[in-house]
Amino acid sequence: MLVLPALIGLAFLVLPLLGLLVRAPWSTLGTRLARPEILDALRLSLLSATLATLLCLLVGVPLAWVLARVDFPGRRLVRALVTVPLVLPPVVGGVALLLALGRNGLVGRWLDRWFGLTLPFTTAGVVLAEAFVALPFLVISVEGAVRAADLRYEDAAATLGASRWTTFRRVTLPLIAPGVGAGAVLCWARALGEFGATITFAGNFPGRTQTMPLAVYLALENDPQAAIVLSLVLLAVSVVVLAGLRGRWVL
Amino acid sequence: MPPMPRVAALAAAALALTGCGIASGDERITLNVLAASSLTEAFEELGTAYHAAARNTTVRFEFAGSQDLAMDVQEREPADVLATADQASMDTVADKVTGRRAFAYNSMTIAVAPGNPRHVQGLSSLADRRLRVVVGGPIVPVGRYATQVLAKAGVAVRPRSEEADSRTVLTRVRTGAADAGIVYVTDMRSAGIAASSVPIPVQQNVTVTYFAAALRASAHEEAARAFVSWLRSPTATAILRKYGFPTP
Amino acid sequence: MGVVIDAHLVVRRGAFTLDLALTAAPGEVVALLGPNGAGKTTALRALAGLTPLSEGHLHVDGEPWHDRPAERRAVGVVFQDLLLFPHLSALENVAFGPRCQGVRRREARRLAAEWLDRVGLADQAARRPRTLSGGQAQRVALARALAVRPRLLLLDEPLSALDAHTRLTVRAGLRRHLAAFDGVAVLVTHDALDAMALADRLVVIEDGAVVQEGTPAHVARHPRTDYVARLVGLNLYRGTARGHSVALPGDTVTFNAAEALDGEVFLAFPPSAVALFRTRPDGSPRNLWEATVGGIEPHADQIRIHLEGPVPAAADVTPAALAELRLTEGDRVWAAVKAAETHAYPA
Repeated sequence: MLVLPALIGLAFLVLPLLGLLVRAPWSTLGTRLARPEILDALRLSLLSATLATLLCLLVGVPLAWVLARVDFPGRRLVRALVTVPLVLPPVVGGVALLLALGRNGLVGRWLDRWFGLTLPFTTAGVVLAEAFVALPFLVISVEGAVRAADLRYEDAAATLGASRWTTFRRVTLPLIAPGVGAGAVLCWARALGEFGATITFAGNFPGRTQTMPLAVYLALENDPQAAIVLSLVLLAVSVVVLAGLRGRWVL
Repeated sequence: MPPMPRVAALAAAALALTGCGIASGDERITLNVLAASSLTEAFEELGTAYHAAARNTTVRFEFAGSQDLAMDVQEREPADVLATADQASMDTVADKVTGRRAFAYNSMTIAVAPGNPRHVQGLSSLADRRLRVVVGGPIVPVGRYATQVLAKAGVAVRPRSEEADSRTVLTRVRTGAADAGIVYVTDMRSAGIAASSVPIPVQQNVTVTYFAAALRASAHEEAARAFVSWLRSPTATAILRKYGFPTP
Repeated sequence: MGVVIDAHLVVRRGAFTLDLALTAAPGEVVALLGPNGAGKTTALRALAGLTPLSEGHLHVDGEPWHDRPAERRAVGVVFQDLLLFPHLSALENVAFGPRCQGVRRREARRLAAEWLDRVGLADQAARRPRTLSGGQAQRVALARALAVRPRLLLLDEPLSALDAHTRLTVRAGLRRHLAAFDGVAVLVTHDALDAMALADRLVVIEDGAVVQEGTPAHVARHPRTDYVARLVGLNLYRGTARGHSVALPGDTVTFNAAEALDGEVFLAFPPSAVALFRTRPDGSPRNLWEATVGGIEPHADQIRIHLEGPVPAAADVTPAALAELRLTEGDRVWAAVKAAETHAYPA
C-alpha cells in the first residue's frame, strides 16, 4: 500500500537531481571547478551559512526555551511570528530586512548615523538574511525538544544547589542536545540554499555577497553549463554535510 | 526589485502558448514576442497599437533578459518574434532568425537619489570610495555597458553589488541602499521623482541598439515579419520615443 | 540538640489542601505514610522548596527556609524515579552537587568518589545511569543526595522501583546510611513495611491532614483509621468501653478487651485471632458474632476470609482449617476472637 507512493515520492525528489547529473558537462568539469569564482562563492556560502547558524543558535535557543517554558501573555502570537519567515517568500523577507536594516531603514538609518554601519552589500548582510530565513527551523526544533525534556531533572538540579543558569547549561542543554543539533542542521541547510532574501537584502558581489545560489542564478543568464556545475557543487557539499551530521544528530 | 526568475518566465510562456493554435487563412493570429525587459512599458503599448492596426493579430509578450531570450530560442521554445537589447544576443541565434533589423537605441546614465545629494558630477565621481555604487553584473548587458562606459571614461569603480538587471540597479538607488548606479536612460522614466539622473556625455557613452527579428521556427512567419517591419512605422516610432528610446 | 525541623506546611491546589505540622530532632527518620493522593509528595516538594507554601513556615536549625528557593536549601533529595542525569557518569552525578556549592572540580570528584565508595559503587564510577542496575542507580541517587551534606534528606518512595529481592538488600543499606546521617531524614512511602523498617516515627497523612503519628510499634498496634488498620493488617472498630467490656455501635456485638477503659475507644485485633465455626460454639456470647463469607483468597501461607455483616472483619485460617470448614462465598459462619488478642485504646 505504502510502497508505490513512497517510490513516487522518491522519484519526485531524485529525478530533478538526475537531470542535473545527466546535463552536467563532465568533460570540462575539472577546469570549470578550479575557477576562482566558484571557490570564492563556495567559501562564502559555507562561511555565511555557518555564521548564520551560530547566530541562530545564539538567539534561537533562548527564544525556544522562553516559548516552551515561560507563560506570558501573547505567547501564541510570538510563536506565530517566529514561524512567519517559513511562509514569507524569501524575497519579501529581503525587502522587509531592507526596510528595517537598510540604509534608510527603521533601525538601519541609526546604525548608519551612529556607528557608520551599513549591512546591505556586506557579508554580514548575507549572514543576517540567511539567519532571518533559517531561524524558524532552529526555534521550532529546539522548542519541541525543550517541551519534551523532563522538567523534573531541573528540579533535581535545583535541589543539588544549581542556579537557573547552571541548570540550563549543565542539565537542560545536554538533555535537549539532539533537538538543538537537528535544528542546527536544518538551519544550516536552509541558510546554505538561501537565495531570495540574500540577493534582495545583501546584493550580489563576488567574494563578498555572492553565495553559491546567487552565482547559480546569475550563471543561468548566460552560461547554463556553469550553472549546472555550480549546482552540482552545492548539491555535493550539502549531501556530504547533511549525511554526516544527520547520522550523528538526528538518527 | 529582483529580476523575475527565468523559470517563471518560461512557465508564463508555456501558458501563453496554449492559447495559440495553428493559424490558417484569415483566422485570428496570436504572435508570441520575446522581448528584452527594458522594453516592457513601451512594448505593452506597442502591442495595443498593433492590434488596433492589424485587427486579426494579437500580440503577447514575454519579457526577460536578452541572454535569456536568446537561450530560449536556442532551446527551440516556440515563439514568433525576438527583440533583444543588444547585438551580441541576436548574433548567437543568427541562423534561427530572419528579417532582422535595428528599431531603437538606448544609452546609459547615472541614477542618483532625488536632487543628487552626493553631488555626483559624472562618471569620475563614481571612483570615490565613500560613494556606494551599484552596477549590473558583468554577464548581463546592463553590466557590460557599465563596464564599457567606465572604461571609456578611464574610471576605476569598486561597485558594492552587481545586480542581475537594470531595474534592480535602479531600485537600489531609489531605496537609498546605493548612492549611484549605471542604468539605461529609458529606465529613468519609470523612476519618476524617486531618482534623479546625471547624464553621461556622448563621447563616454555607448549606443545600445535594439534588434528585432522573426523566428524561422515560427508558425506565422509572415505575420511575424510584418510585426518586425511595423516597429519602424511612424506609429511605433512615436510610441518608442515617448518612452525615451531614440529611433533610427 | 533540640529541634532541626519545625514546619507548618500549607499548600493549596484547587480543592486540595495540604496542612501538615512537622517537627523532628537531629538524626531522626520520619516516614510520611499515606495512600496515593494524600499529599505526601507535595509535602516533600514543599520541604525541598520545589513547591511554594501557600501559608505556614519552615525553620531548619532555627533559620527560616520558607522563602528560600530550592537551590539555597541544604537538602538532599532521592526522587521516586531517581532522576540521575542521563548524560553524566555516576561520578559526575554525585559530583554535581558539590560543584554547584563551589567546590573545585578535582575536590568535587574526590568527594564523589568517596561517596560512591561508601555506597559500595567505587568500581561503577564511570558508568552512565542507563547502564546501572536498579539497585545500583538507587545507591548512586542516595550518594548524590548525601554528597551535598544536607541538613534535610528527603526520600520519595525510595524503594518502590525495585524488585522484591533487590528491595531487601537496598533497604538494609539505606537503614545503615540513615543511621549514620546526623540531619533529619523524611521518607515518603505508601509501603508500611518500608516505613516500619526505616523510620523512627511515622506520620500518617490522609487527604492532606495528619491522622496519626507515633513510633512504628505504637502505630502498628493502635491504628486510628481504616487505612492504617489495613496497612498494618488489623481489624479496627470504634466502640464504647465500660471496664473490659466494649460495645460496638447499635450493641451488635460486645467484646471483652485486654485493657480496661471508659468512653469512646478503638478496638483492634489481627485477622489471625479470629476463629470460625459452622455452628454456634458454646460458652460466652461475648466476642462472638454471626457473619456471611464475602470472599476467600490466599494470603501469604494462610487463607484470608472476608466476613460481611454487622461486624465486617478479615479472618486468617490455615488451608487445612478451610478444608475442614468447607466454606464457600455466601455461607453463614460464627466468628470468635480471644479477649487476650483484642486491644482497646482511647479514641
